[in-house]
Amino acid sequence: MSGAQNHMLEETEFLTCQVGEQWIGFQVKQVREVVTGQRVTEMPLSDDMVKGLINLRGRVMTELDVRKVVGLPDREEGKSSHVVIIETHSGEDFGLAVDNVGEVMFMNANDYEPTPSSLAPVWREVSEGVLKQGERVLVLVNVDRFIALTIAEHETGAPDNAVLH
Amino acid sequence: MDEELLAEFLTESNESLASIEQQLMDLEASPDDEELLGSIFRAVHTVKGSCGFLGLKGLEKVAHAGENLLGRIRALKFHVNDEIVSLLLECTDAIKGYIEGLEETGSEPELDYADLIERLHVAESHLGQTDEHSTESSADEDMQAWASDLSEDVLQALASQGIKSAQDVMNAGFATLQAIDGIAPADALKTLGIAKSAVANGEKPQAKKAKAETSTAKSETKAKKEDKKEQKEAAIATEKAAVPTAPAAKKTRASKPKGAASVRVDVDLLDSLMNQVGELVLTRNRLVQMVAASGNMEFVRVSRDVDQITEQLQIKLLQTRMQPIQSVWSSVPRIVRDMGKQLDKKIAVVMEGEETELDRTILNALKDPLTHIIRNSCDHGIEMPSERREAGKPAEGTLRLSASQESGSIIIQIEDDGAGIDAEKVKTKAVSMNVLTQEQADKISNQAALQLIFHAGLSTAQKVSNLSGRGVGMDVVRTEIEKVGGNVDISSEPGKGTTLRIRIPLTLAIISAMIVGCGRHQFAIPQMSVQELLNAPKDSEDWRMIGGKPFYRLRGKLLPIMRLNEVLKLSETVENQGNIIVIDIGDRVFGVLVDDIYGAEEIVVKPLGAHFQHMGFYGGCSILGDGKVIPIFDCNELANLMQLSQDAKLVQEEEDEADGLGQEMQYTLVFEQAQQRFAIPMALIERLECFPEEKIEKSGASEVLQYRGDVIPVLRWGELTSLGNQAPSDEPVYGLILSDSNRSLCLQVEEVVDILETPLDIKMASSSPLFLGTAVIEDIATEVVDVFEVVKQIDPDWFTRKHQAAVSDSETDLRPKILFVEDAVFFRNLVIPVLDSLDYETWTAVDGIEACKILEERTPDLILTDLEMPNMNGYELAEWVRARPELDDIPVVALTATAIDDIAMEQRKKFQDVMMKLNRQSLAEGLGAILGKKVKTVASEADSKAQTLSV
Repeated sequence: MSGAQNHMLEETEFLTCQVGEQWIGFQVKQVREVVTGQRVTEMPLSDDMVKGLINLRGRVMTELDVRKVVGLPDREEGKSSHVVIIETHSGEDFGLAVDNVGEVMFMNANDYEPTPSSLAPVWREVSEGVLKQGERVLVLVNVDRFIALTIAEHETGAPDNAVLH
Repeated sequence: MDEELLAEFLTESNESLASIEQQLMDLEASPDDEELLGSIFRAVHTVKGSCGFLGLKGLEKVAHAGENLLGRIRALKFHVNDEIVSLLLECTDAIKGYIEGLEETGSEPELDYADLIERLHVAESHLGQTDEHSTESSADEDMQAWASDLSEDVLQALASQGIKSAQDVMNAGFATLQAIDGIAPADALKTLGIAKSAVANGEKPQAKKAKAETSTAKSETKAKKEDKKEQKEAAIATEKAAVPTAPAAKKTRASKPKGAASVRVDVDLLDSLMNQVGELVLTRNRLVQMVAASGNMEFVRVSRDVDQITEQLQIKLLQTRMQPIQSVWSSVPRIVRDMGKQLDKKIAVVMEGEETELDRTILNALKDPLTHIIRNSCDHGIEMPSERREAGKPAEGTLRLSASQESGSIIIQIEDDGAGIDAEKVKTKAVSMNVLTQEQADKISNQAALQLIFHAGLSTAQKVSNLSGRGVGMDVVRTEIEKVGGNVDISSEPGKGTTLRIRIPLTLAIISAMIVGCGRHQFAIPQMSVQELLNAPKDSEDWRMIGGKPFYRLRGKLLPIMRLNEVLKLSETVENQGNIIVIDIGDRVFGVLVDDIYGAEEIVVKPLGAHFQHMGFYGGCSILGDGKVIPIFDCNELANLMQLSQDAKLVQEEEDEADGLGQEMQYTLVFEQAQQRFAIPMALIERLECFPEEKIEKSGASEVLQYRGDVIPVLRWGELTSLGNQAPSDEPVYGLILSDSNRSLCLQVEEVVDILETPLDIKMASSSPLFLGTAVIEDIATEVVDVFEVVKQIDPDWFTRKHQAAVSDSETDLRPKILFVEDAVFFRNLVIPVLDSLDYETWTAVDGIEACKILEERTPDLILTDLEMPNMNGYELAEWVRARPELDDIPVVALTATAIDDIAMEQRKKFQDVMMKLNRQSLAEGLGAILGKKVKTVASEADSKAQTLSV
């Protein structure tokens, strides 16, 4: 990891979220807002990881369930999710349903480590590196790669989770 | 390059070029129309003139060459031939090519038209050689380009001295000019000045340039304005001087006078406005709902205003996006002309409804498919003139385009009077391409076979000429049209021509949609595809299962039904309320079974994200008034989802075909008695009852059953047939309630096997009068019961007594007499009781010949005839009757087992009416209406009861 990149990362703000046991971070500049309790319109026959469509003040966007993308079981009954609205470079915005939203934090370069090989394959796929904070390993998620993962799958027709585990 | 100037140039050029093709073609038709020629010349000249201004060298060259040729034509009053027109059309194509490039990139595209320019030059000089005055005229031409501000006298004087170009003037110098006869010193000065500036501007020979000596855009614009004013004057002058005048260098350009004041708006801006209004509509919907809930009158009033204003805004904005279809059609005459020349065919174009307006997005999308269809029509539809003459048609083929609005959608028809398409050939081809099996091809109707032309497998691999119809790329045509939410179908009559019918929505942004529910899901179905709504209760007898797929019988046709919850794999099971949306997508009609229908709503179509791009059946989504997002179906794709392609269609065809052969598929009750099978058509059974044996009571010698407050006679099938009853006596027994004319009886049978849907194809006549014959049902020989014989067993007067009662007040011979012509025993037995019950005197004939014999002896009040019969069919009989004056006032009514719609209109006209054999209700009513007799409702009552039958 070059110093320049570290420097860049150092100025980056991240929104931390929890999915299952895993803490992840989205770059704040790609996060539009965090919403809860949105009514979701299910889209029959769509991919399992697609929760449906949400209406964010007149804008319709696709909500994806991060748990499903990484192959976790369904969220416990009655447990609500938070939806992180993110922007991608393709111009389409998405809602990502996560279990919990933590805080917005500046990147501490000292905590940064390249993606460790011990990380679950699905996270390795979308990781830009991790932040080690004591016990906690925060995966810095590349949003575009994350979305690409969910779209590429049905195009190739790969069976669910084959890539992910 | 000055962008504003360029934009103005592009708009102006587009305007003047828009009409030029048509004008050129008009000129071809009337080559001595000088005014027309002048107008064409001016259009090209305008383009060329502006080029110099904008530094568009390539375009200028092409335009200049064209202008020169046109100038020469005008000067020589040369009557153009098709070659010249072709050349000039090519030139306008080139100009358009440049302009399109400019529009796209903002800079002049690199195009090579050296060859065209050369040919234009050659043509020009060739014209010159044929005329002695060429030099003079050419001078005129060369001159008028740069010296358009000079008076005609001066120009003539200059020309007489051989001074043509601006450079010539410069070379001659002031002294020489002044010395020329007819040129005053002032004129000489002016001429020199203009020439100088022309030369200084790089010999951009044009009036504007000559005038605008300053180089700032502002003054140039001013110059242009003056120029325009001048043009207007010139135009007026031309109009006034209706007499054709010699070409005058003065006339430079005259664009069409503008209509009402208008502003040009960027299309992107309009699109974005449209989106905003879409949002407004949604917000309005939400507001209206909230206000209605609040119950505050003040709010309600305000929100009503908002509602109305929004609607107006939406309508107005939609209008701004609308363009007449003319804008797409304008290229058609040209295409047809070129195709005609290429193919040596004569083709006329007729257009109707050019003013019909469509959303510009849709119009753009239609351009290519339309061109394709028209090319196909010219190429494969319309025959060579010699063939046409042989076929007794005018040598000139006609291509007819028409557009009209029909409730929210636009219908575009492209019709040719060519050779048509031979459906058989399409079938053969389809079989050879493995699109259909031979078996399928044999069953498929001609109309359905024609639609195969849109099949990708068939059309792309198809060499056009192999098929007497269209071929290559029709699948693309279909795809393109479907992309904008439209659909297309084809019909053709060999020898007469082919018609393509395109149906497209008026606009894409806001559509009217039917909101339906399935479980807790809601969906929107574009209204354009919705043909009608049906209610089909689960126990309706019109349901059919064929090959494990549900169908619903609608007006004699089988409608394939898509169970939305199944197709979409919705887990919830909701009780089937039988709501069917009938969807018509042009070549296919199918029903979608949903739980609820909420009604129609105007919705704004929004695109779906990347995760749904592979799911074509979702055409988009919208937001409802309550903020809920709702997916919109794309009905064409939805049809594919249910695999309602050839298979289901074939089944449908098969069924229809079966009807046509008198093999009415019908529900038939099959029961067993002593291990023998019997069948009774369900239509004759009112109800199927299961009751304990004790309910059958003795009443004298006979048995009776208390049934619905009535006491009805009981007949035991085992006794009638002497087969006996093998069922244990302690079990409930089955009773078939047969009902007719308010009278019922119960036929007790041993065991009900099933109610099946089967054609009652009676193979063998039966020795017993109790049976109509033997049919094979589910591979088992089954005796088909003649219910009327059965009824007679218990009550020989079942029928006669009734009419006796009815006619007791009047003379028997006053009863209306019906001649009933029917070859099939089964239908005879089915219909005669109906006629009897209606108190008609019925004479029967087994075919047309027999009917004729009867008619020669006696005259009935009405002739009721089957259509398909041996020896002499129903149509022939009708013709025979109509040819007889003495039978002139006798109505002839056709009876059909097929859907009435399947009979060609022309054929239908032979009859007073066409009725369905198996619909006793309508038969009774129809006959009653014709004979002016009040219809008894008894039969209908029995009929409706039969419909609610359940097992």
